[in-house]
Amino acid sequence: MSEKDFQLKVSVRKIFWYEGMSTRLNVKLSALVSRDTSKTRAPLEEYTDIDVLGIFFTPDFRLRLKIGDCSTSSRRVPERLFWLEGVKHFFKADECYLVRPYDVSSSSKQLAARLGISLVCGKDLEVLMQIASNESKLRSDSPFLNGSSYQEREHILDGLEEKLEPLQKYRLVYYWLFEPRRNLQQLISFLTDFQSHLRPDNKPHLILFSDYVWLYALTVLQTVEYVAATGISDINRSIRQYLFGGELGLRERESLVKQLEELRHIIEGSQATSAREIFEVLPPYYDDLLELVTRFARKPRASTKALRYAESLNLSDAFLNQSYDLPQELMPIDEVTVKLLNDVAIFVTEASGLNKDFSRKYIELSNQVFTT
Amino acid sequence: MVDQLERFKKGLRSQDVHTGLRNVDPNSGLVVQYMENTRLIGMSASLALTIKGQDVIEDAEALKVIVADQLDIEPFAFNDVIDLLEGTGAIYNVKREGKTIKSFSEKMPLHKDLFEYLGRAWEDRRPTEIEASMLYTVDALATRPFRASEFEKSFGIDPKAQEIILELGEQSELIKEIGLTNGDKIYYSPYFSFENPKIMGELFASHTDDAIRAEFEKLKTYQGIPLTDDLPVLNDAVARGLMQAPSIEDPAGLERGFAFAPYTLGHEYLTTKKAVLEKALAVLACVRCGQHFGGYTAIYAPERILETLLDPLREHKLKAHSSHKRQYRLMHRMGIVNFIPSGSWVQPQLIETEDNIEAVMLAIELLKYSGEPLSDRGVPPDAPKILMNQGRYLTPIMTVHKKRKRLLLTDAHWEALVNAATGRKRIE
Repeated sequence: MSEKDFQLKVSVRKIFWYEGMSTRLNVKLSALVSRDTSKTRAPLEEYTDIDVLGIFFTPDFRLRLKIGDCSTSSRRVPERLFWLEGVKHFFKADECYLVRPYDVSSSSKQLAARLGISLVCGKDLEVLMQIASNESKLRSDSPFLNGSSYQEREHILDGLEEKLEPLQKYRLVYYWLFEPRRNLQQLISFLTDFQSHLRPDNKPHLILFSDYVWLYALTVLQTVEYVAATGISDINRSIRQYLFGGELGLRERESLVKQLEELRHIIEGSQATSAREIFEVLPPYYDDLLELVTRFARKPRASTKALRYAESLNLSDAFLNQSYDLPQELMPIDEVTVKLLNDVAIFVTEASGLNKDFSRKYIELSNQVFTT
Repeated sequence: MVDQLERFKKGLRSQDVHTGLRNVDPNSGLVVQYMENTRLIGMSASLALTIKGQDVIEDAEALKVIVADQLDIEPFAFNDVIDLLEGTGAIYNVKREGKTIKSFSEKMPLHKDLFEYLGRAWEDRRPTEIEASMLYTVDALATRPFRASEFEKSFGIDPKAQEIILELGEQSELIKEIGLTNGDKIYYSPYFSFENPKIMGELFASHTDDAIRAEFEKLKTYQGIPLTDDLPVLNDAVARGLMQAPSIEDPAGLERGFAFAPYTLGHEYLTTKKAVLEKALAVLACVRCGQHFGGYTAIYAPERILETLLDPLREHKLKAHSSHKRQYRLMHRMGIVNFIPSGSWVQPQLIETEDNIEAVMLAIELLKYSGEPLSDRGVPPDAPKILMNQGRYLTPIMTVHKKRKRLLLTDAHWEALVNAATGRKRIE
C-alpha cells in the first residue's frame, strides 16, 4: 500500500467518522479452503480487502455498513466500479464510495450512478473533507484522524511474538470471515487458547486486548440486532437460537451433545462421572453473555455508540504515544456508553480466563480518557 | 438449623429483616448488638434492587440522600453497603474522593438471583447465632404460621435467643402473634396476605401441627393448588376466610377452588393495590384450572400463556380454543380480558390497563417464585422481568452395557468433543 493510498483512506475514514460511524481500515475478505495432504497449502485464500469500512447502528439496532475503495491509480475505473458492486453485495454493505484523487471519465460517472455507488473524485474529496473539518471542529492534523495513531497501533501489533500469530490472524482475517454469530464464541476461544501467553503489563498485549474489545462490542451489537428482530421479549431464547444459527441449529446441537453424553455412558458405564459440567450445549459463560446482551439491548442510545468510544479509546494516548482531544461536539461523553464498553472488557477478560488486570487496566484508561 | 437455609434465602430473608427493622430505632441496643450483619446485607439488597439496570450512578451523593429517605439506608452505613456490593462484584469502577463516593457502575445480575450473592456475603461476615436464628425464624414464617412451642422443639433455638428474637420481632413487627385460649401462642408473618389472621387460632385448634405444616409447605411451593379433598387444612382455611381461593368451573361443570397465600413485602398489595393482587390471583386460578382440568389439551407451561397476554407482538391475545370462554370467564368478569369471537370459540385478549398489566406480571412472579413476588423489593419499574432459569441437561437413565476391556477418555477429551460440536473450538 502506497503512502498516497493510505492518505486517501485516512481522508475517507475521517468523513465516515464525521458521519457518526466507527471505522476500520484494510478489512480482509477471504475463504476457508481445504488443506492438501502435505499441509503445505494455506487453509484460507484471500479474495480482496476493503480499504475503509464504516459501521453504524441505528437506535433500533439496525446495522448500516459503508465501504470505501481508495486508490491513486488512474486505471480501470469502470472495472473497479463493477468489482465494488460485487464487494458491496458480498459484504452486505449499504453504501459504497469509490474515491479517486483525479477526475474520471463521464462514462464512469454514469456507470457509478447506475450502480448506486458514490463517486468521489477530483476536488470532491477536498470539499467533503473541508466540510467535515469545519463542522466537527476537528483539526486536520489530529493524530486520531490523520492516521498516525492507527499506523502506530498496527506497527506495534505487527511486532507481536510469533506464538501470538493466530490472535493477529483472527482479528485481521477470521473475524471478518466467520458469520457474526460464530464470533460470540470464537473470539473467546482464541483468547482462551492463548491466555497463558498474554500479560496485562505488556503494552502490545494490552493494545491487542483493546482491539478484541472493539471486535466483541461489534459482535454483541450484531447479536442485539438479531434479538431485536426476532424476539426481544424472550431474549434468552433469541440468544440461544442466534448462537447456533436458529432453532433448528440449537436443537441439532442439543441432540448431538446428548448423544455424546450417552456415548460416554455406553463406553464407561457407571464410571462416567465428572467433577465438571461437560455436556452443556451453551458455553460456560452463557449467563454472563445473556446479561451483557440484555444490558446493550436495554440502552439503545448508549450502546449503539460503543464502537466509536472503543475506537477513540484504542487509538488514544492511553494506549499509544499519541495525544489528541476529540471535540465534545463530535463525541459528547455518555457515561452509560463508557460503562457498557467497560462491561464488554470485563466479560471478555472473565470469559476467556485472562488475567483480571486486563479489564482493570482497560477501565483505568477509559476513566482517564472519558472524563466529563 | 440456619445452615440448612439455601444461600438465596439467607439473602432474601436479610432483606425481610431489614424491611422490618425500619420500624425500630437503629440505635436500639438489640439491633446494634445482634443484627448488624443482617441489616447491612438487607440494606445492600434494597439498594441493589433499586439501582439494578441503571448501569451508571453518576451522582452517588444524591443516591445516598434518596435511599436514606426511601429505603432507610442510614447515611453512615452507605459506604459500607457500597464496599460490600463492590466486594461481590455487583458494582465496580467506584470513584471516590477521600471517603466520599462520587459515582459507580452497577453490574447486578439481571437474569440471575442477586440474593444468592448476598447470601454468600452474609455467610462471609460470620453473623451471630441470634442473626442466624432470626433468619431461620423469618424464613419459617414465610411458609406458614407456627405454634410457640415449635421454637425449641423443631427449630432448636434456645429460650434466651428466642426471647431476643421475639422482642426484636415484636418491635419491628416482623413477627405477629395470636394468643390461644389454652395459653399457647401462634406466630405468623405480617407479609402474608391473610384475609383474617385472627381466626388462625381456630385452624390450630382443629388440625394437628404436622398437618398444618405439611399443607402450608405444599401451598408455598405451588401457589394456586387445587383444593382437593386430601387437603383438609387448606379447605378449612378457605372456608373460615383465612385465605383466598378463587374458583373456576371445570369441563364437567364442577366449581374448582385454587388456594393462594402470597407473601409480599410491598404492603400496598394488601392495602391500596389489593385489587391488583386479587386480579393476579384470578389470572393464576384460570391458568391453574387449564393446567389441572384441561383434559388432553391441558396447559403445559402456564407462564407462557401469561407471557403471551403481555406480548404486544401477539396483540396480547391467546389462540382460540373451545374451552376459553369457560376457563377465562373469571378474568373476563373482572375486566382483565376481552373475548374476541373466533367462529364459535373465543380468543381472550388482555385489556391493556395499568392494573391488568401489573396483575399479569405479578401472577407470573407468583408462579415463578413460590408466591413471593420480587418486583416489590425495590426493582425499578423499567427493569426487565425476564429471569432466566437455565435448564441443565438431565442425564438419561441408561442401560449399562456388559463390561469389557475398553479405552476410557478423560474429561478433557470429552470436553474437546463437546466444544467442537457446539462451535467453541477455535476454527483455523
